[in-house]
Amino acid sequence: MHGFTHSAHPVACAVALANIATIEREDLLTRVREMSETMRRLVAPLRDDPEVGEVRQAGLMVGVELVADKATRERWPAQATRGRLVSAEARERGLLTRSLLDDILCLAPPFTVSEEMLGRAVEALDQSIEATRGLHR
Amino acid sequence: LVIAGGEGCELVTEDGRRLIDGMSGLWTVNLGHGRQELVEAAVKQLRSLPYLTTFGGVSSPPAIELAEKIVELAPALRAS
Repeated sequence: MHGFTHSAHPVACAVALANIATIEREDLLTRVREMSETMRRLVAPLRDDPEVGEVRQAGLMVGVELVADKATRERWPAQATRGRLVSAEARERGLLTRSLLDDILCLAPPFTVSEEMLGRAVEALDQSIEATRGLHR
Repeated sequence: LVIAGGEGCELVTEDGRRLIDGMSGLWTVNLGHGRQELVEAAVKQLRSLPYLTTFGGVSSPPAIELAEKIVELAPALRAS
């Protein structure tokens, strides 16, 4: 058993309870399921990008994997920092995100995200991949 | 990059530029920023008991209630 100074912090627990209560009261999981289908439709065209190896999705969470070779799905070497170039560009285009495991761009917006904002997020990601193509080390 | 505020699903920089919070913080801001019911829950708790260590078999009502809620929601069977 390992304990932390802030384990079961009463303020964090009280906020978590209120958070879950809102999810239930506003039936946000139904909304997430519906919005996930919108997300699925919006990210589908990314699969045609010459550098996208795979687009993975679970609910509203999406991972866009960039690869060096689309046919073999060979990854970029870490020192190419391909993913970080995209996330840095995305900031300039109004989207804050990170690349995980080097080159997997992540989207996981709040449950309350609008269709319009989802569209802008995916567009910013798409344009950031395009704008940084060939700039890797 | 310095973020000074959050409004709904967006973050606002010190100089007023808006960015979509693409990862909900670290998958944590499920409801978006600035939810009044969360602010009120935090303030209420800060007034009654702002901090407690759970070392040595000590606990507090929100910790117990949250643990029960998570067990209720989790897909695993309750340990007998």
